[in-house]
Amino acid sequence: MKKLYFIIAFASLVFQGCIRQGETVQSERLPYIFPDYIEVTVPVNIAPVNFSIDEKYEKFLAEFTGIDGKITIRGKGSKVQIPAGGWKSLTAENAGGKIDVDISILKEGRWTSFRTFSIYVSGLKADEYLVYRRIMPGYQNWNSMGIYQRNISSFDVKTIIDSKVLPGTCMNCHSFSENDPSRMVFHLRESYGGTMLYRNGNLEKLNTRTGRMFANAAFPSWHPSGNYIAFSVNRVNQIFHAAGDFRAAAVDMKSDVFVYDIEKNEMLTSPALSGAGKFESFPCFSPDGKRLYYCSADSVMLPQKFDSVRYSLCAVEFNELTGKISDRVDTVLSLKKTAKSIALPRVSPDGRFLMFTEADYGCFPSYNPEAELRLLDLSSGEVLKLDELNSDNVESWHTWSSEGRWVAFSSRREDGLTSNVYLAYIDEQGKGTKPFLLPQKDPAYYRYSLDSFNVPEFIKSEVKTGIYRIEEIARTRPALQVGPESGH
Amino acid sequence: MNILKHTVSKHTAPLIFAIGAFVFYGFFYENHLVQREQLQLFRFTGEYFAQKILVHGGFSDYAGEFLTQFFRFPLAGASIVTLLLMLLYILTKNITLWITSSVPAGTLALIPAAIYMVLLPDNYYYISGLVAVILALLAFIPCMKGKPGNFIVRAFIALPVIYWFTGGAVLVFASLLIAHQLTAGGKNILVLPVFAGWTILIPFAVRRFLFEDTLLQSFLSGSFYAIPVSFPLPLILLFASFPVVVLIQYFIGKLNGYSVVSDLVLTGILLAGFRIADFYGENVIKYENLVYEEKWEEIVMQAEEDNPSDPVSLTALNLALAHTKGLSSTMFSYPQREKSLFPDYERRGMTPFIASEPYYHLGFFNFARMFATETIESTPDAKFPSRSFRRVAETMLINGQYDAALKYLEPLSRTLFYSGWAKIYLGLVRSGEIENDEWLAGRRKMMTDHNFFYDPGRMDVSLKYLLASEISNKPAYEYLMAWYLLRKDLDGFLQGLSIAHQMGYGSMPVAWQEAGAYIGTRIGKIPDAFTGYGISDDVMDKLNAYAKAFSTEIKDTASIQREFGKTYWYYLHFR
Repeated sequence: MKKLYFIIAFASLVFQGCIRQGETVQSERLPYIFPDYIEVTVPVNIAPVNFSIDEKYEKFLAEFTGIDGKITIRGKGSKVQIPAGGWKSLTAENAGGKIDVDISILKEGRWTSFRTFSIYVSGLKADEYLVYRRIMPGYQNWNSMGIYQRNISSFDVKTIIDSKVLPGTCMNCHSFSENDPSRMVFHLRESYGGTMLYRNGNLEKLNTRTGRMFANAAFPSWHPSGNYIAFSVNRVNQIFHAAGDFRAAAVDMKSDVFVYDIEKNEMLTSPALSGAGKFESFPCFSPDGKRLYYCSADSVMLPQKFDSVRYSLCAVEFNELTGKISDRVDTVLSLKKTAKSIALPRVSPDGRFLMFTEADYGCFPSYNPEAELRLLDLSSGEVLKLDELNSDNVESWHTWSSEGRWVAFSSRREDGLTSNVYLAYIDEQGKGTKPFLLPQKDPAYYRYSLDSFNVPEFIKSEVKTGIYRIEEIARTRPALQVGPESGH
Repeated sequence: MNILKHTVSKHTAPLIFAIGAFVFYGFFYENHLVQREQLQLFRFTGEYFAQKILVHGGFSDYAGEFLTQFFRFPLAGASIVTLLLMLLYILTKNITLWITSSVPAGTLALIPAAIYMVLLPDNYYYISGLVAVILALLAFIPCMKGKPGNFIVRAFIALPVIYWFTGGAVLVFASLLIAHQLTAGGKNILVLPVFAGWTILIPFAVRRFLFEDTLLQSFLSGSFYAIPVSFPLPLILLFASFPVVVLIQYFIGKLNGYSVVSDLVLTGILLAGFRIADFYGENVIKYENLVYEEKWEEIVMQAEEDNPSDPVSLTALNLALAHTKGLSSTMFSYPQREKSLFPDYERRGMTPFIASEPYYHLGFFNFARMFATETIESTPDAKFPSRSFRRVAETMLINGQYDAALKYLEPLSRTLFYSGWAKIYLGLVRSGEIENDEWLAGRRKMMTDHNFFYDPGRMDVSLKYLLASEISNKPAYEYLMAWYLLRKDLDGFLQGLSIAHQMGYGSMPVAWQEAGAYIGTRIGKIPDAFTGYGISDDVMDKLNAYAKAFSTEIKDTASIQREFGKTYWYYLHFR
């Protein structure tokens, strides 16, 4: 591979000599490219960051130069597609450093070179796979959707399950224990409904709705031991706005949190997690498994006062050995302090930070254009604004990679319609780098794709259970009934 | 003379069949064909072609979609379907002749085409399927001709190729191959199980190694039937009809009188097809199509002819009335229902195209987009419907969501019939001149300045918001008053009348006068809201007559309907 890499580099040098003849004008500005990979930091194991050059020209020349090695690409179209092998070598050689990118264009017989920009290469690998749900924008109907795993080092995408093999079925809320692909849970709704639990090679279909639960289990969070899964149970209504660029809003009419004891096949609860007059949602275990974070709000008249519901970040103690959930609620971050609504708490694997989404109201931030990511430093209690990650549109559904530095999240910043996956690096002080769009083989992909990428989740390696096995169990096996909840 | 007679009889049946197919699809079923075009978004791009050709059956799907885009012109659609059916007939005839070495008796070779003709009125059966079968038949003789020694090799190569291009039509190809071996081929009967096994193995292998799909779809492909979980019985009959025609011709085709039997079978198929054709649905789709073309006068004329009572037609009619002679003047001349202004939001089946129309034409652009998006997301085959794509693009442009609108305009700009419109707006958005567009300005004038929520039970509130934003939105006012009348909300009706003078009504529409006169009988005087307008003597006289009939002939509703069926009072008491 290395040999090939040098051949490319050598060829590019020869080529460079013959292509850019004559006068070259140096432009002071940066080139317009899409996606924006200018001055971003990427993990060493990222796929080629292909992009389009949004300029008018007849030919282009793109040079990627590291301390060691260089890739040169020329073309007439708008797409700069970097050879995978060369890119892999270039990033590996320059891990911990940077790759300078020079773009030149030929227009009306004259070459123009734009200001050089850099792509910084972190030597720290992000988890190899991202699992997400892909679905087109809709309201209540859907036609095709699926849960897919994307290898971030290449452009390979494999289907975990989709509506092609399970027609009429909605699939959502995939979750993994500590980024481990051998411990996965997700839900199927409508046709073939049930909760699919995959653990150490065993795949089961569960009916999670027990006596006191008013709906099936929804948003999950695995306990690090892999023996418990906390779920929220939500009764959700959608409302549709008449004006503005809001598509819709989702309103939690009722919600509680339960903890599923996998070994005993029973639901655990506590008054703290399913209190009257309160909404509780989005559970998240701490990495040591001793605390269960969740979001809580006072109930109000809904849907009329949907925009006055604000959630605080709360936590209760959890005893892994006994399954006991404490009754004492610790309000970690109160809405009285933030005057905002908190959703989707996710603790970093080292337990230092808790990333959450902050919106003006509600607990489904993917509908709130003002939704931003925030970072709570659990050691100091300070909330970091993470401006470097946020945009003027929705940011939500964030996930930590297992090494605790890379995050992925969904954002609607490109067009306000579709959610796309961005990656960013968070340093030890909680400062983020400029996020970058998950690369695609065709850099124009995000320009025409109508798919949204929901709930990106990092996992360390590939999910091995096959699509037809999931299909077969979903179709043919009766769901195992989870036992009635017990309060400890 | 005998030769002439033979030639005439040989061509008469196919000719009658062709004329019949053309007349049926061109004049009795054209709206179904037109709607087929709205249900797809065929794009002239290499990427779209590649996307299709990379899956089994994709080539037929592509070819079928290509032809279907011309269905927006009814006679073009009828011509294409007729030509394809005739091609199917000719190929069936030639293959039967080639295999059996005898000209198919009577109308025997027309039977597969007749079955397809009976299937196609159902929009779930694709034109692509017909194309796929034709392609499989076209390939048959060239693939099978040649040295007998190479036959097995040729068949083994042909089967996966045919499968890839035509999907499930490979079953037709394989069954003809078997029929060929059972008859004239006759020497390789022992290899038949091998062919059958190979034909079955290919989809299994594709499903295992290339694509994830249901077992059914891996056999059939997406070219035949819009609902991917169903394999309808008629399709089995169709596939089976080809080898059956060959075998019948071979074994009993030369028997005396057989041609009469085949004529009878053919006639039976066509009569059955004519009987099960959905003419009621055809009429409903006609209203939907006329709304799409904004032919309001034509809708009203059509309604005067057939007095529609189904929700889709009434929704179209009321919208047309609001755009023409005034909804309030004539709405009760038709059998109105409480929900005939806005169709119900149902999560069952495909959200009909009409669902977004009243919202769009009144100024509820977000709601129109919601319904159009729901249509996109509820088509049975997950194909993009061009009509809804255009509607979503329009509403996004109106809302100023240009980046999002581009995602819908771009594919529309790659079509044959929407590209002109889409390219204009792509250009305006990209050049930044979109804000100067007149059409956009006109639509934006209707938009609400207030935000509120979709509530199908309180559309009166929503309509009031529209009027509060733009008082000149007369259709919205007509809808508001119609809403009250249809809900029998007479308090709301009287409140709504308070702005009638602002809306420029010189006189009160008859339905309003009828409602006012009725209210007068309850409160003992003509309501104050009628001050300056009054209620005509005719209406008062008619009310008296109605009151008399109501009190004396209450059990004879038919008589009351005959005399007063087009009054608001009849709606109030009997609907």
